[in-house]
Amino acid sequence: MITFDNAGKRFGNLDAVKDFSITIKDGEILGLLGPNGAGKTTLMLMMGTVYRPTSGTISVNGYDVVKQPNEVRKLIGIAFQDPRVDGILSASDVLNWHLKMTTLFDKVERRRRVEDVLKSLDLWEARKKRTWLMSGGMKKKVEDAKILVQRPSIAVFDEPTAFLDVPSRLLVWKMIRQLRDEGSTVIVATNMMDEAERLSERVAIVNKGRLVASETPEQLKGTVKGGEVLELTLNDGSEFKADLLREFPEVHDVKQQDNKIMVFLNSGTLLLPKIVDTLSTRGFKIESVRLKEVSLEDVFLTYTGQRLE
Amino acid sequence: MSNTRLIPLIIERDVRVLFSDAFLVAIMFANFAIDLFVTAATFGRLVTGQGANYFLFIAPGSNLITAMVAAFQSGRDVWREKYIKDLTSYLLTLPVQRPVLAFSRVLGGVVRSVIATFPGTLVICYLYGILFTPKVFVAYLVVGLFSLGIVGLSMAVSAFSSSIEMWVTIRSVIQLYLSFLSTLFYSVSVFPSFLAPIVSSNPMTWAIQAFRQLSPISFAQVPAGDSLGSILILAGPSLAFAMLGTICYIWYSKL
Repeated sequence: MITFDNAGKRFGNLDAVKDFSITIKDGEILGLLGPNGAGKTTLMLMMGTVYRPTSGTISVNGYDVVKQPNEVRKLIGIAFQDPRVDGILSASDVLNWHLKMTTLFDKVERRRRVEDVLKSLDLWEARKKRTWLMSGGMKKKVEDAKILVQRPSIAVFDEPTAFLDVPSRLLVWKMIRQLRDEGSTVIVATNMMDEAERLSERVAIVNKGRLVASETPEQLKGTVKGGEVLELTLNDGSEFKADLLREFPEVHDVKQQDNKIMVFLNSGTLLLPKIVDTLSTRGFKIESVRLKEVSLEDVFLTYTGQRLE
Repeated sequence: MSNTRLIPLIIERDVRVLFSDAFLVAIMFANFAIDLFVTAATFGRLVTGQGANYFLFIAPGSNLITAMVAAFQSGRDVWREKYIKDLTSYLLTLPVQRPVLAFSRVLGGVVRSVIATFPGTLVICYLYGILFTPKVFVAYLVVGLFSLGIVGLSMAVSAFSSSIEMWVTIRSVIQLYLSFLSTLFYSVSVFPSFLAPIVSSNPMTWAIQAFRQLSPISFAQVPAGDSLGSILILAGPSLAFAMLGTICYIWYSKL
């Protein structure tokens, strides 16, 4: 379990992270969602004992990151946003050395793990290529591979799919989920909505160094009042009265434009049959129905007042 | 996980980074051999009156200059790791104590220097006629001890250099001091008296003297005796600089 208790990091006059408190449970995938400069990387580097918090405390499996940094480092592996690899070395050398430094595996096990991961990430053919000769996407995969071969108790990925094409992104997500299934706690910092939504069991929204919200993606969406929009087109809307739908507690607002009715509501999927039924029993003929669900972007906009992408 | 187990791994990485290209290593060794040959052909015949072949007089210094250049490369790598490649933050996440990491980096630099000068030391030992005696190990000890101090110094320079230009300038000043204010080319008696204390306190002076004292050939101006005294004197600044480099690396790595 990882606990941030009012953790803060100050650089000169700038609070990169301030009063940040969260508990990350064992075996969960937590998405840290925030724009560039929100403090996500600082949070991860504090947890990884690279930065010392200037206020508050951070503990990893009971070890304080300031008082017991060596114990913490044994538990954590961080894949950085920008690949941190020696360009002169090959992917195979980079991974092998990382494993030697972080684990006690023998040569056979190291070779097996490196081969498995490089093959999975479609890097096997390029395993002897110097990393500085690789494309941005390949380098990024090598960076992710360091943690995928290590399989630490706590795996931290900073923008794990930046520079990657769509098939590679899906593959990395799958491998991160496998890592969690094998018992690792996973933290993924991202500014990509779909990554946070598809990968995380819980999303922590970070803005200007502060924790704004932390829930499952569904719970976060539920906090946006009337965030979903149900668009109904009636055959004849002249007799329609908005109060008819306002009786539902999940409905927050109803607007009409000729035959088009827009219902601002929550739990739209559950409520849709009831609304259709109500309108049908009152004699309205529905020509079309369209439900726009709340996206994580709407959630982010609600909490921070800004768009992420 | 024992931290001492990790020391050779950190050294291994440093060595791999410098010697990862076999072709470059071959070029480096060939270049050194050519340098040595040209120096021998030129100075051995040009300068006389030192009581022995002048080339044999300056050859250890020539070798130590190579060690010095290789040692300074370690500081440059450390600087690049922080400002160019941002590898420092990665290294700091590895499960190794900061002092162990820092000292291992210094040791890695020493190993690199000894490897870079390996053929040169061997050739000079052959020319000195000590190749098949235990003195050959002492020769490598001298190179290693000298490199230890210079690697430490180069890491300290890295800690205080905010730009590569500043780093290069400081390195050049130190290299000039080590090369020309030492007994590399001439004996201390040639220097003006006010420079004599500076020359005598130069680690290069003691490293060269220790090396020359390994030779059965007697050089004019080189005090007789075995190398032990000179090695002990060299050990002082070398260990101090290694300590300074270690402390500076720890301080400099705090992001």
